[in-house]
Amino acid sequence: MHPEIDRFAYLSSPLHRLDPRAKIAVFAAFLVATALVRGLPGALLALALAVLWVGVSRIPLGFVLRRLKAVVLFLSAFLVLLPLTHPAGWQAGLLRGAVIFIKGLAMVLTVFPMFGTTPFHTSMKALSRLHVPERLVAMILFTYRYLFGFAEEVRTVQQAARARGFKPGNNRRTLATLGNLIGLTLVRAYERTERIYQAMLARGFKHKFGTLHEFSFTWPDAWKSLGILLAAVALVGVDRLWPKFFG
Amino acid sequence: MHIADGVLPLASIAAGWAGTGVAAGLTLRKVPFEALPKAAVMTSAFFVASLIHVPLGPTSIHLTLNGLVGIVLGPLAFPAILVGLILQALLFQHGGVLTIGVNTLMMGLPALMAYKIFDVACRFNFRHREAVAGFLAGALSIFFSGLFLALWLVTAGREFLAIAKLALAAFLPLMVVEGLVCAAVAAFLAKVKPEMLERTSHATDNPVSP
Repeated sequence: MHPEIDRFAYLSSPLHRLDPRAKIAVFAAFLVATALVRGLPGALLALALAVLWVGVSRIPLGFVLRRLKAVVLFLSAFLVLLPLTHPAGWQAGLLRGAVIFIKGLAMVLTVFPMFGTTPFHTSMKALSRLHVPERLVAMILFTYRYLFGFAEEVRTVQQAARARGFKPGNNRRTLATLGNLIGLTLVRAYERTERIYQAMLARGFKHKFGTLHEFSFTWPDAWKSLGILLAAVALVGVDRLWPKFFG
Repeated sequence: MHIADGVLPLASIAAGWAGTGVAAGLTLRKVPFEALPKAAVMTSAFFVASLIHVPLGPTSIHLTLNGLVGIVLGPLAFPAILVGLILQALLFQHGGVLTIGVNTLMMGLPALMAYKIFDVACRFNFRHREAVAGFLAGALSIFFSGLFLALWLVTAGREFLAIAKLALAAFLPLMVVEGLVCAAVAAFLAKVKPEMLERTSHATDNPVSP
């Protein structure tokens, strides 16, 4: 496991240069606008805008597509099952499923420019400036910090199990072995919690986080934020007005 | 097991955030700040453990482990699951960003129930106590998560009724697998590190217990 969210956080693009506080706030507004969409034209516009954000962010498309698998699988369930089960008939179901699928795709695409164009710890600092409770942000940062070490540890334990001839299968033995493996990981983590905390205190941790990044909101930030906000408003407008003019 | 973005109307999303805000606020406010780094280390371990593949029939699944999180972390299981879901949404784009509230309620409330179930079951004395209590906590937490998912979908739109039923049926095998793994882990912890399961008698020794 790599800190993949940070993989393209240091590129240079108009979105990378956007103030992270504004970036999170305006893309959140765009997500809310997309959630408000009801019809197919609105959903398609949302998808087009989301593709535009990803394009502007210069995050490689191949990387983005590879990460969509889980969401596409989940959304496909609606696309396939709604036509079969919709009380108003298969056409209504297909339309509903398609709107859900396209909206979902647009929203997951928006996450890449929203959080993929800022280093993770800077995003978290921005969240805390946006009045997300300090304790929650602290917990996210600590959890993130230890993920990679534990991932390494789990790999080691799994390798040890394989070296002793463990082959996962559909039996109780497998579940018991995996249970021990998970238990072992938890015990190791537990035994480390106290020492990690002592080490943090020894290095002067004062229950506050500092990053060297200072936020600044400039004129280009204002224009870009305004553009994204206007797009969000236009999206809801198009969705509501389309049936009146073309429906 | 998450609801992705795009499915729920804004009202369901807002209700999810409101519930998660209240529950996370209540559980986070009570603990001293020193407990947070420790709870976070455990959250991290749970997050990684939940990535382990478990074979199920011809395919394999990831565990949720929300029952186990409840057993080990107690009330802090709720913020732990919130943090886990935030990281999952940001690192892997699993679930959604707007649905983090709903998903946290869906997995976090059953985790708190699992904590209660395990606690009550362990007041009695019987053979394989931790394994049986662990199975109940693990299986029931998945059951309640599935029920919650179904309810949330149905309240979001009547056309989701059939999908909600299907999802609930798909949860039954998951319940058994999670229950068995949870039982194995609980039995392991009872043997190797019993203080991780005790919250009443050794409250001061357990660094992550509130």
